[in-house]
Amino acid sequence: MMVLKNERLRKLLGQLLPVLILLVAVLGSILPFERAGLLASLITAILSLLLFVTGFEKKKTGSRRMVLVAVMTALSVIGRFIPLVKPVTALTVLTAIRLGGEAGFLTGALSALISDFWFGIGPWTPFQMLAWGMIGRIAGWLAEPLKKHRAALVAYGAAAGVLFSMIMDVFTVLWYSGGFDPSLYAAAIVTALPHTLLYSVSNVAFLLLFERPFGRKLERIKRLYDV
Amino acid sequence: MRAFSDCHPAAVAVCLLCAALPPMVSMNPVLLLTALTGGLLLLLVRRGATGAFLLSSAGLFLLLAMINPIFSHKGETVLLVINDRPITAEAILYGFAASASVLSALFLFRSFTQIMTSDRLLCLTGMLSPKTALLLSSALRFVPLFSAQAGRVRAARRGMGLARPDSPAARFRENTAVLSTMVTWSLENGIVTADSMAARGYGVGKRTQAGLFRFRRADGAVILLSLLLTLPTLVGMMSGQLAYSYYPALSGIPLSLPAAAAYLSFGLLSLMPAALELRGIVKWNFLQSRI
Amino acid sequence: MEFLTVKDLSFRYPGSAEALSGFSFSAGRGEILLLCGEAGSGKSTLLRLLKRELRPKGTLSGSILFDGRPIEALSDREAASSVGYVMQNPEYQIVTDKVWHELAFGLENLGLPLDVIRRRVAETACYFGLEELFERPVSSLSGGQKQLLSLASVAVMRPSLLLLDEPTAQLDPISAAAFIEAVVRLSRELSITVLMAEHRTEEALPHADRLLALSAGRQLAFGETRRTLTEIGGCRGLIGELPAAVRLYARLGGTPPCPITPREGGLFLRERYDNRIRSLPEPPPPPDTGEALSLRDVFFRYGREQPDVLRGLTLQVREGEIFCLLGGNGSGKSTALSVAAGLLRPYAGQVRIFGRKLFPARAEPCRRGSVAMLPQDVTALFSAETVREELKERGETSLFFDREELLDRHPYDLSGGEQQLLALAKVLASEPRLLLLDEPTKGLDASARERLLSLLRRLRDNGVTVVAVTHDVEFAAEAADRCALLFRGELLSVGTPRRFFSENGYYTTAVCRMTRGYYDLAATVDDAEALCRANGRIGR
Repeated sequence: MMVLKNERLRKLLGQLLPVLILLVAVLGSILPFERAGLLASLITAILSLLLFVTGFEKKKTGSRRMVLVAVMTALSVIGRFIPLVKPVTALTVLTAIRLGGEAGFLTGALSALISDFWFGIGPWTPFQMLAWGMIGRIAGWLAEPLKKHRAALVAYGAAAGVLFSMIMDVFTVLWYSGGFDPSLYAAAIVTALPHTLLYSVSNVAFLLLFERPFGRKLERIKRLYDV
Repeated sequence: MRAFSDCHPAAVAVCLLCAALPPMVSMNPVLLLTALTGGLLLLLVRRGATGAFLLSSAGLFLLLAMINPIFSHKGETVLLVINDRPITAEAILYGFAASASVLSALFLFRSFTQIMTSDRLLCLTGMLSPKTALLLSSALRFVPLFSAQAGRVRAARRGMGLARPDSPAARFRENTAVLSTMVTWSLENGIVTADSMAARGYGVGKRTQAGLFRFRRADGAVILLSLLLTLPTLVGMMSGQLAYSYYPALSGIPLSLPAAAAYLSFGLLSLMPAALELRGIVKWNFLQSRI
Repeated sequence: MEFLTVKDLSFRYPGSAEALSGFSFSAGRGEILLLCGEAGSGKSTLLRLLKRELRPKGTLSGSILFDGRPIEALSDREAASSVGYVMQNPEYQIVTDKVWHELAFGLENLGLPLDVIRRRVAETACYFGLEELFERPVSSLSGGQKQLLSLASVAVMRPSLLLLDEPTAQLDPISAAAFIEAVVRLSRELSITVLMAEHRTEEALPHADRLLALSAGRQLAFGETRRTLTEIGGCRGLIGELPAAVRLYARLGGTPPCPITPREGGLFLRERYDNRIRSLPEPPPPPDTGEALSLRDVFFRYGREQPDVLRGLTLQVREGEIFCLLGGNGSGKSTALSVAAGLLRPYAGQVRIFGRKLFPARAEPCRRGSVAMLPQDVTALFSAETVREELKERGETSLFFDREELLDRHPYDLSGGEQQLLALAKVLASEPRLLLLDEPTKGLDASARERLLSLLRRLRDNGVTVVAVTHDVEFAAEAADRCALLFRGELLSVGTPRRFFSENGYYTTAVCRMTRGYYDLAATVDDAEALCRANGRIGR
């Protein structure tokens, strides 16, 4: 209503944001606050999300594409309630491969936001959104090799699990100690290791199991929907 | 004026974010204690915390405080030595400060999550991007629909004469089959949703975003006040007037004039949500007693 | 001056034969035009051609005049707002999560200012009686409320033409009647022209000003309702879709005017047919067989704090009969079926299947092979990409699925009737002796119902006991050996369909309503026809 109603302002901001993000990242380390690292990274995360959203807002997206993304988001939100398996990453990756990086980013980021409704919104939410969103985005860039080689898919699934965990650990450490403390970070990674491993394995299993049937389903839908 | 949780979502968001930010960024004990108190008060006034939650937060508070002295051995006052590593009083105190920083945010965001119903979140998102808000809204529509359907699929499969899965492998297979059915079902039926969107003019032009919430003068006042009250703290932090160091020895609590102004304004800011909320409740009770 | 004029409309999907050919019809402002035809006759395609945003790909010839202008000349905004479209499925045409937001959705798309949206949403909510539901999440609404919301969220855009594609097919009779009533109000009070496609026309036909009958993509007849009814009286495929009075009229070869409502049907009988013979001879009671299913004093509730859904339900189903369980929404009939299927465990009472306890004290309900249930939404059973794979999942190709030509199709590309056939084949793969059906006729057209009926009879003759829960009294009257009425989780009455429906005053078939006080024990059109023929015309 008031924040970004102005079309020109929105456009301007869209162009300025990449610069702003760089600026914040650099300034973060030299600002005179005690815990500038946390502030800088939070602002960076939020700005990157804003950047993406403004880009998405400007584009025209057909109703069928919108519904597909909403459906995938809802499916992965429900998936997050399945104990242990949590197919959010896998569904995000599959969406990205078949429908493109933007759809993947949205699916990942929005699933994080919506499921945090139940699990609790907090300063971690922007990081989660960004982490899952980027997993989708990158999968979108790598769509061709991921579609062709199962080994690539396996590697990406495992890497996504580890990466997600590592990004969230960065945040945990930042939040606690304000700056980046390598020994704390190492400890956080080690304690999260069993969870990370399980997560990566379930990602891979899920991707392997679902890549083909899911691909067939989505390709049929793409044909029917004419997306 | 209405209770805090009845304010426009933007006012709620700005106020809570302003209150949550300084304790995350600064380790000044006065700010931390104030934020912790404010967050806790808001939770209590709104009855947003169960006994179990408070108890587990107390546990978390102690646990988090213990982490720092394990990893950080800076500080002058050595209390004891374990494995050739000194455990210092400063590190323990820093641990408590970090713990307070984490918990104050936890408290505030718990209230934030409780106040921000989906309608409010959509209103906020809609201010940034109506399209994303629409996406969120339909995803929120699908979540309960799909989980109900997943239950129906499970029941249908068992009604067909398939046994209830008894081993983990069977359960995994069953879950996969259910998910596969769900994916087909939701994607195929999604065409109807898309058609329904198109039929009602989605994509003919620029969308607006309707909401249940009107932006009133009082909401503007809350936002303005929140921003104004953050200013002294921000200035204090930037100029180093509020700086407080734990290592090598605890520095004295800064008590300059700007620091005092920051304490006062941040105290008001932290108490504002709880006070407004309480005011709403009291006023309601008062009005009711007069009827 | 007609509001909508369609002239020589033909349509062809890319690379296939003509799907629609030679449609010419019109509707005046505020009139209701009913489209009547079997599944696959082209009703949906025709309606979609009239809604620009939903027009399928293909080549179209002929002209569509909307208020005197070709429909192509409308601007995008005008086309979106002045032609409203409501579809069959109440779940999926809702886009947003809250009632108020769904109402606002169309107006948001048009980019109207917030004040205007607020006002229009508010007045529409008032008109449709949705104030109570305004801030509720959509998922908490009943099917009928969802469908009404869909109608309201189209009406909020102030359309002048409303296209309804089988809007009541998924609703129970009470909600269907309420929906039709709302549509009639829109046309009579606000002069909105309505084109409505329906399978079951008992509710809608009496309100229709004009009728368009189609079959296999062709226009069979068009014109004022009663006149058109007489014209299509002899058409086999179509007649099953029409109200009981019209069917009886057609069977007996009456002379115009054609009766439509039960009242008119009753008058028609009394004026033309004698009633010396008041009832048909009753068939002998079936031989006493064993019990297939028995429930004794069964109590069930969904949660500790929730009320009982089944309150001491006692009910016996004999081996080898078709048993229909009827009742309104919330009467507990679906719950009773789930209990019988072993999906829900009652907290008191006993359930026996072929004499064996369904819920032994500790173990899991053991019932593999003896009971199977067909869910209401049969697509809950489909996960494969072709019918062949779907059947493979449950053993070899079932005896009951004899449609070779469908094997390589996608399950979702089948018609409702074919989907049900496929689901039945899957369910029957375990060769159950007791088959439970949940609303088997929902969304089916007349010929699919006919096929289902003969399939169930075939199963019964093979010794399978069938228990069906249904809202569809006409189906129960034709299919059942015995019917039972459930109310608030208790059994009220049981009997053969003829006795059962004749004794009911309100919860009964259209034929019973027509023949009340003139003939006894006539529940179906067949019964009424037989009685009329036995009695002969008055004065002959």
